[in-house]
Amino acid sequence: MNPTPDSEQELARLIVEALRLEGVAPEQIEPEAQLFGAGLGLDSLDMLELSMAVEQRYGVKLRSDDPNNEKIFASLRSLSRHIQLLRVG
Amino acid sequence: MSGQWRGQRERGSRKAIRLMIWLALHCGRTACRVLLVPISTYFFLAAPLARRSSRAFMNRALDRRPAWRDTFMHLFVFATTLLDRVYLVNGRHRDFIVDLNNEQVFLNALAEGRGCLLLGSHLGSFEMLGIIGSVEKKLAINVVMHVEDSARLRDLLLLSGNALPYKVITLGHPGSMLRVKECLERGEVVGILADRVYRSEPTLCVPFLGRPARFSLSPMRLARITGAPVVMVFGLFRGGRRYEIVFEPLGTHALQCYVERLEHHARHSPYNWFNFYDYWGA
Repeated sequence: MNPTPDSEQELARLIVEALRLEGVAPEQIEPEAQLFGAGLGLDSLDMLELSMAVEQRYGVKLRSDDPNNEKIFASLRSLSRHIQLLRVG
Repeated sequence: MSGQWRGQRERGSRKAIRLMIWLALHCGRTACRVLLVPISTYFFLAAPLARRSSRAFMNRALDRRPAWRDTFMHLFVFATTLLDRVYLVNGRHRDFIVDLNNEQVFLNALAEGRGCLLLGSHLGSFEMLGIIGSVEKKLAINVVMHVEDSARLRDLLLLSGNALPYKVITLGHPGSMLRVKECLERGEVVGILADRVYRSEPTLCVPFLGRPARFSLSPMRLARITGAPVVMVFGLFRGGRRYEIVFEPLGTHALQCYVERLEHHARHSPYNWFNFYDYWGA
């Protein structure tokens, strides 16, 4: 299923909130821009905090041993899509 | 960071390293330590960065002016711990005498059942702790490593045909720290060498041996996020076949406390300092 822009927006808000990103508005986060490293400049500690926030908000667990992690964490869009899939499954 | 120490090319070809491993396993440690004398001398003469950074460190750690012997001993002790690594990954840790100091602090932390973050450093060797903890104490131990350190370790293992008893968590993946948390949730031990700064990590300048140095804030942030108990550990080479593993509790001002204890042990065991780069300038 395709994530609606709404769910992407909601996740963007969660990212800004959970990581206390200063000077970044949720709507500024490009859906296709890189989250980890370049782009938004998140590190793997940020990813850990984000995963915990996602678990709390959506009740789904992101796993470190998922072979698709590089793709899942690649962008707001891919992460949002993955969360939607987990919620359905 | 400048990447100075990682930029230093590995001297000695794979062939030479393979030869050294063969000698280590077939001719014994005493003979190999004799060989380390000319090898350390070679590095003393041919590795100006190592020599300079050793001298800069000794200038601060010793109460006297460092002599050339200090630099030589520094390189010799480093070479010895690298040699010993060959024995350790080959299941020969029983050849060594290992004193565990203040182990109760570690056991108490583990008894909480939330895993344990072990804050180590490049003062001495973490290898001995990883091996003793996993083989002798039957603990599940994970060590967080930079990708290049883990590649070097993998090379050593490939060359000597062995598997490590502990697990390596490689930094630089989006899921690296998530994996640390999963290990801790299973009650496992995760070791982090907290005295180096990688890439653009947030840091804090803390006085170290009389001059501010940058220390990473990431290990303490990881501790805060996971809520796991944290214990400091120093695995020091004591000469001969003897190693000492010292556990210490972490005080309230975590980073400050870590740097103070690092300084304390660096002063008392200066030859164990294995950060061969401009530590204060990096």
